[in-house]
Amino acid sequence: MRVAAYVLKRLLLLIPVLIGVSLIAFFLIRLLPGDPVLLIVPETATEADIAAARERLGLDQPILTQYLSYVGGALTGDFGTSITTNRSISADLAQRIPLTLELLIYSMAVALVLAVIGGVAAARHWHKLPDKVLRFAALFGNSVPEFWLGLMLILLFYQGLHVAPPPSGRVDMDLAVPTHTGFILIDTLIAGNGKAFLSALHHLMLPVATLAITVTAPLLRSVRASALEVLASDNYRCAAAHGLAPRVLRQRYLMRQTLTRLPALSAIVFGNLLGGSVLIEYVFSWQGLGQWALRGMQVRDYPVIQAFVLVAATTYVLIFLLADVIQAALDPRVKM
Amino acid sequence: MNTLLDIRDLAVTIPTADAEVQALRGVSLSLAQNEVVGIVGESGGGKSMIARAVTHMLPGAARMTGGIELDGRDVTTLTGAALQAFRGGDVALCFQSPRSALSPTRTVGKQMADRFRAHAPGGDLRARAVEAFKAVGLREPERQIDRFPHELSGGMCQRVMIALALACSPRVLIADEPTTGLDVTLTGEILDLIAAQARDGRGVLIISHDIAALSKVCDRLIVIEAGRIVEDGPTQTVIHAPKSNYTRRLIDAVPDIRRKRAVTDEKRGETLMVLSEVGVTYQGRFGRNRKPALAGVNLEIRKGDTIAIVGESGSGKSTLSRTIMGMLKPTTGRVDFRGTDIARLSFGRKRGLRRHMQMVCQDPLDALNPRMSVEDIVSDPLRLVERDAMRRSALIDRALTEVGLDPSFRTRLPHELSGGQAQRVGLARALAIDPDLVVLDEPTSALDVTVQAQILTLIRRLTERRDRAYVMVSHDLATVRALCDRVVVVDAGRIVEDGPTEQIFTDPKSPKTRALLDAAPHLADRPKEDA
Amino acid sequence: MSAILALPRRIVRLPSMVLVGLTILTLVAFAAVFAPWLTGWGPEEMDMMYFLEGPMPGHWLGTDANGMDVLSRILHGARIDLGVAIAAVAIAVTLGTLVGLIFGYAGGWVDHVGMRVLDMFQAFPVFILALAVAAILGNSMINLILTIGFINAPPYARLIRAEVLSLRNRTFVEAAEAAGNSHISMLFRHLLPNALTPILVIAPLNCGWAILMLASLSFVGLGVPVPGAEWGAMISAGAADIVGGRWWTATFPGIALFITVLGFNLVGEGLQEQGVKR
Repeated sequence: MRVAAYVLKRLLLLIPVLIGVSLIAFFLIRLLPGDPVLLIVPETATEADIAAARERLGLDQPILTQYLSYVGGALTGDFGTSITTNRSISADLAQRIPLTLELLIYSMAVALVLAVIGGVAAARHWHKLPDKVLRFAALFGNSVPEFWLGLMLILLFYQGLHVAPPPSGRVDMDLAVPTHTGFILIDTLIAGNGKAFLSALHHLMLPVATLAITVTAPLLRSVRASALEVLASDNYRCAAAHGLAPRVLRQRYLMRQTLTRLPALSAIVFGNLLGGSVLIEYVFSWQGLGQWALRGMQVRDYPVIQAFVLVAATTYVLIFLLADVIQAALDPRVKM
Repeated sequence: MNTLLDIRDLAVTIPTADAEVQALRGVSLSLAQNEVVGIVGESGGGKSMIARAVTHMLPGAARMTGGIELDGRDVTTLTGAALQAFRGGDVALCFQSPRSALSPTRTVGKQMADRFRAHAPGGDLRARAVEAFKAVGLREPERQIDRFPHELSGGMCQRVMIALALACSPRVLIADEPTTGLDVTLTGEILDLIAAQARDGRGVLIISHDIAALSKVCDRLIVIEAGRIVEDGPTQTVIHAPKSNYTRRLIDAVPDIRRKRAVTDEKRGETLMVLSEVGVTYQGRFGRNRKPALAGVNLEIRKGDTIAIVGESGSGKSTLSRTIMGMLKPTTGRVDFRGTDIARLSFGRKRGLRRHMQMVCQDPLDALNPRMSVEDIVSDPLRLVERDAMRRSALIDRALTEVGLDPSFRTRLPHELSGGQAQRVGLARALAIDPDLVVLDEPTSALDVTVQAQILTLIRRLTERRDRAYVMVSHDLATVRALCDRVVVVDAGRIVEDGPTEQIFTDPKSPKTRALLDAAPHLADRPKEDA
Repeated sequence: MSAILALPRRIVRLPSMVLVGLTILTLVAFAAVFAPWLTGWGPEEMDMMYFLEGPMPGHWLGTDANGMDVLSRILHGARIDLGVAIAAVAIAVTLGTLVGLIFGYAGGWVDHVGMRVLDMFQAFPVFILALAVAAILGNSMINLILTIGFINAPPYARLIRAEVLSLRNRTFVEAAEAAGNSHISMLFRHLLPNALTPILVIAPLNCGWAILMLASLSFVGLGVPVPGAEWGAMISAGAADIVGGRWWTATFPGIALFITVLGFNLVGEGLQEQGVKR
């Protein structure tokens, strides 16, 4: 009940943020130097052609009307049509979002598990070998450009060792699976196609590894830092000074407090992951949201850019809310 | 009496980046069954290291030599399960600042149950926890047991801490600065509670900087200076016939509320400030009004006055001093300084006031900008009136000399100053501009006792000139009696008593004043012959 | 003054991480400054004899599909990557510091409204906002610097504001106010110098991110345009060669990029660790 009220309150507080986000996404396009219509029409277009295009896109309306109709559309799931492909943006989104989400979720899950285990282990062996190794790994993950790392993994595991599939597609070419959820691992399971499932895992391996490596690094550092802080805190030392069993100390006193800080950072990291997915999808020819948005950006397909920015920001904001709720559940000091 | 804990020739060395710090040197002491021993010393003297050494909680890099025996058993070499059983089971530690020593993410009841499970499992743990909390005087233990530390008051946290330490009936209870941050009334209660644990063969060791408080509960006092024991003896002998100079200094520095001040002639000059019907209410969030911090306050301040504002923490005395300084805009009433209502001045005009009124802050080290040198700090208010750098420089020298600092201090940074020196710089900053009114906010409460005495002497010398008005906020009644002509007692945002110092101390009218006087710290009395 | 004089004493005690980082960055800066004199080839000069040839004498790191010398392009790339990153971070720090200082000191509605606006900008994942702005504004060098600079400013504003808010609870700030300091003096004499320390740590880390951001933008064609010698653009051009087994065109610029970012991270993390110890 308390949690439900808290979530509701937080959702209400989201409204002004989302209005701001939609304003930024909307005006971003209109801030650009020059007339967006000129980007759309062919260079040979006459004045009349331009006026017609302007009317067709609603750009002759007052700016407020344009904004309201845009927001109204977005609320009903209508983001208009792409001006270069003429396809419905909503349909494209529905098709591509699951592909990207699948990448993000698996990478995040792998990263969280590695970061928690590694971070606590590093803190417990502070300045000893495991700590040094993990810190070096984190430094590597924080410094390596993810798109280049992806290329190097392809070079090594596909080109060199031939253990990874070619960087294109989600399953091997000869395996087709009917789409139900859009999530390939789930779809292959629904189809009961074990071979396709394994192939999908095989194809996910390198992109997920690439994203996970770069995302684990900041999380690992944070877990290590908060675990160190707990270990040095009076409350942990007091529990130790009262002779509690090592297992109780580790689970009830160290872990719980260490984890309270993780949700907030995970949300930020998820934002980096969203951005990183654009690069990784490009490297692995993964036909997700990122590839779609990137193409839109390269040709300045502004409804596509707008829709992508809006969807990304909304997702990000909701992830933050989820993180806050988890944090409130973990840390009794957070006021609900 | 059987010796319980025996420490022989204990030395602790802590390597730092610059040098090795000798935290303890050749410390030998013993604790007998049913005995309460107090370890006294000033901050940085190494007294907490004793508790840490006994429980194997020394900082990682520290090196220890010497012997520690419990019931004749060497405990310095314990490891693993034996160490775990020893900690909490044989020797239990009450940590300083209990709120941060309790796990923030676990209810106090569960933390209690964890202790039971570690040393004496079995039975209904919840019922045992309630019982344990009741034994330390925690009110409504059934309700508190499911709360988290941040939901409890400081005094309640300290009681929980004591209960946790006692959970496994240790042979020795060590309390490290158990009363820091508690007000005087609670200090007495908590110390009594801790001392009362010295029964059924248990020994109690209390570590504190407060010799007055310890003298009331301890059988024996041990005085530590710079890592060495300088005095060890029965409480009465130590406080009434101290052998070491350091102990004598500590005792002399204990403010004695019964000591009258030498009355100088009281000259009252022109009226500087009049507060009429001043009220302050802090705005709560979302416009919710909270209880007023000040209400209906009337006060007149004249040149030559030395006025004390006393009250418990949270009574509104800081709010009053900030209102006098014009740093806080009162919700109702007027604050007239030489005829102008300063409550309604713009920021710029208020700055102009600063040449007439200045303030000295509570925590001297925190009151100085860590990145500015002493001369920059002192010149800060001077820049209001003196544009010429040469003349400003001369004024800085004069101000530093006035507070007893050599002008060579000018280039020092705050972290290179001791607490007492920092407070002198704070005074120099306030006096440099030659103001008419100086507000001193608890000017000595953050200082070690021996330094306190020096700063008070300096302040007394200044006030006796009667060339300006001083308003001193304090909870330390002994200081107030020694320094001030007039006392204003504040309680719950109201002035409950206002009168000449001696009258208030000898014939208090308000029950609140009487309560404050009763709770004031002083050394334990000599036992009556017949007692 | 005396605070500045105290600085050399601190530098002597820098941890080894920082020293290693500074060494790397010095080498990269050296490469950037002396790039034209370090190889016989210009960054966009084509060698008509060798297209896509592996490392060999004369072209120590090979040539790319246009016959341009990879080593020369990497050395010249240091100029662009380092220059853009440092300029962008300078903009971000200056802008963010001023805004944060004003929000924190003014308080009240200025702070309230200002922070809500910052919230809105920070509701966008950083790199996605960078992509969108870069796509819309077009990819001139100035636009890239401004884009990366503005996008990285909000965290500084937040950091400085938080620092100022906590400083306002410190006695010395109240004491300074009681001593009669003006607003300007409060802001720049008392608050700013004490609020800057965390920036010293974040700024080097941020330079690393800025380089990664620039390279990422170039990698997907929204940053420095071809044939500009920028590391991300070079990796992008070289990506196509990888499948054919010609690894050097993408690998070497990536190593340069990695090492430079590593240098910044070593300095930042080293300073952070130093700060924790204090």
